[in-house]
Amino acid sequence: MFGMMEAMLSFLRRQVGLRTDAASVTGSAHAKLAHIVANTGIKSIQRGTIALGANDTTKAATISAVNTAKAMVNLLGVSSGNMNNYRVSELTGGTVRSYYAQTGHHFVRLQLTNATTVTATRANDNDTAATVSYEVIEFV
Amino acid sequence: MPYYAQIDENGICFAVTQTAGEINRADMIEIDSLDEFILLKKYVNGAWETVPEEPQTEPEPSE
Repeated sequence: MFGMMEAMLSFLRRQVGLRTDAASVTGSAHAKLAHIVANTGIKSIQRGTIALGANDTTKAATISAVNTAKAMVNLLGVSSGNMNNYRVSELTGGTVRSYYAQTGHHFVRLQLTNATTVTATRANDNDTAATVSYEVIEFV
Repeated sequence: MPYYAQIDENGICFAVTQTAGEINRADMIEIDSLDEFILLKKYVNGAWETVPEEPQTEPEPSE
């Protein structure tokens, strides 16, 4: 009976391990926890705003170096003004102007171009500035 | 975590950034906060100056 209890306690000690166990994916519970703590979580967050001028379709901002394999970029939003254009139609007895909104300058995409660069790009500038907010999250 | 304003070849600020660490570049100017009001302003002798806007012209009509 005593031998059975001792064997069970010994088994439990091996499974749980000690707080001083080195991080390991195959070791004791303490070792596995140490591995999880050391290899997960957020390493850094960087935030910024890029201004695309009235005649810019792309701009690249510099950030601190990140590991692109463990980093993501989030678009937090874009703000921009209105822009209208018009068509002229020739009709009998005169012309007609049909106004419509130009919207291409609003639609901006972001790219983590390399370890230190975030690039904002849009298809059209439409003579209108746009402000783009982003964050780069790097994981451990 | 430091803050920087990034300027183009004309001294115009096109980005403000809160970085994870220090960056030493001629076009990155350390600032006190993530101040978006300096965007599209010109950096002249340590100060930010408003750049006069070009007068808007009526767009060319499309087909």
